[in-house]
Amino acid sequence: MTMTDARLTGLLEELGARPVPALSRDASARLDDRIAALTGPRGAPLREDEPRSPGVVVAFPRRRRRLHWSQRCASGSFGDGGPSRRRRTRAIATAAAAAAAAVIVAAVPAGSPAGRSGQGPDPGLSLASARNATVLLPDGSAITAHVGLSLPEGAIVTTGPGGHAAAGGVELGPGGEAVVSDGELAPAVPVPPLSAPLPPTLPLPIVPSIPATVPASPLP
Amino acid sequence: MRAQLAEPDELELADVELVDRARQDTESFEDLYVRYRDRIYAFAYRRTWTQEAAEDVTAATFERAYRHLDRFDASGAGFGPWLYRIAANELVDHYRREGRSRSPRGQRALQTLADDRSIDDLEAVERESDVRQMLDAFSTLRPRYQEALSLRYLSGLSADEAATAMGCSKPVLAVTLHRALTALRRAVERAGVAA
Repeated sequence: MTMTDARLTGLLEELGARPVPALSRDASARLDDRIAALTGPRGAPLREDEPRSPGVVVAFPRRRRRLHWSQRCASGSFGDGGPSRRRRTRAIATAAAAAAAAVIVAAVPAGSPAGRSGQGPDPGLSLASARNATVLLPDGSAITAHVGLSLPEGAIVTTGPGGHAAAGGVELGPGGEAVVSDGELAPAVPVPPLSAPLPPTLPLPIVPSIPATVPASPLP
Repeated sequence: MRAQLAEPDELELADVELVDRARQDTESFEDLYVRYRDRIYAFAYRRTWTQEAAEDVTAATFERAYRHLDRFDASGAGFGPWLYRIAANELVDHYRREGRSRSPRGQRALQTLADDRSIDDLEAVERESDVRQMLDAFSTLRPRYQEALSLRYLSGLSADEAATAMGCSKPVLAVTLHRALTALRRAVERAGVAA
């Protein structure tokens, strides 16, 4: 087909002027979470509707008090108090977080699962970053991975080509797969592709066949 | 709201101030994000025509902008055009990853585009067909051509802003656009012959 440059320009300008559907509330919240996870002090943000342990609330008071992005947008609360108040709030939050973290580190021996299975509800594992990734939940449902998504025990995180996911300090690269086990993301052992050369096999020794029945020796 | 009261120059100044603050204070970056989120999403949507892809591109744009905030030059085109350029590059990466419009998502996007407008006359049918072919060919262009065409026609930036966003002069942008349009026309023709 033949299309002139003017025709192409006209089509591009028309395309650029077409109305775009507004971001849905869910989409907006997903986006906000991804950015909040990026700019927040501790990776994945806590959503208002997610259960949280008392320890986490004490450790991160700023997150608890803070409105969700969409709420802040709707209420026009940006700029209230100004940067000095923000800095003050953050300084307090940082100090509280540091103090709480020190208490937690002192109380929980390194590598001990006591922190997860001890007192209080388990805060759970959640995705700190996700791109082109899917989560297969234990109930068999598959959902697109997004930042802040809670990962229950037994969930399988799969990343596509160019995909990426991270949770609990464990990162999963493109084409990866990991299972949530014992509150941690455990990358699955990579399966070699079919085209990969097989390891050399040792020749099996030839064992003389044993007759099924032993002939009875004549009795003396 | 500051943005509603500010003149254009003051708005850009506010952007620069926010970027300065965001380098030390992450919450200022959140203000920038709120200011540009919908615009970047609309820009991404006009290329991808799927909400999920536009979301991905928007998030990736702000993530990259946040990580490379120290590279933003306040004496340049301003934060907005800088952000649009990042988004344009993210779109190029997106199509590279997605295997262009041959992927299921790309096909769905083109279908969305076809469903998006009521087609009630022959001329409109032809126009929609042309748009679909053009979008299909768009993602086969060199990244710089995609970037130039996106910034100039789909972002709402003026020619001056698009040029500064690309880091070139207006005449250079004009030449790039001319070459990009020629490449796009040839790509459309090739696709037509192949079909």
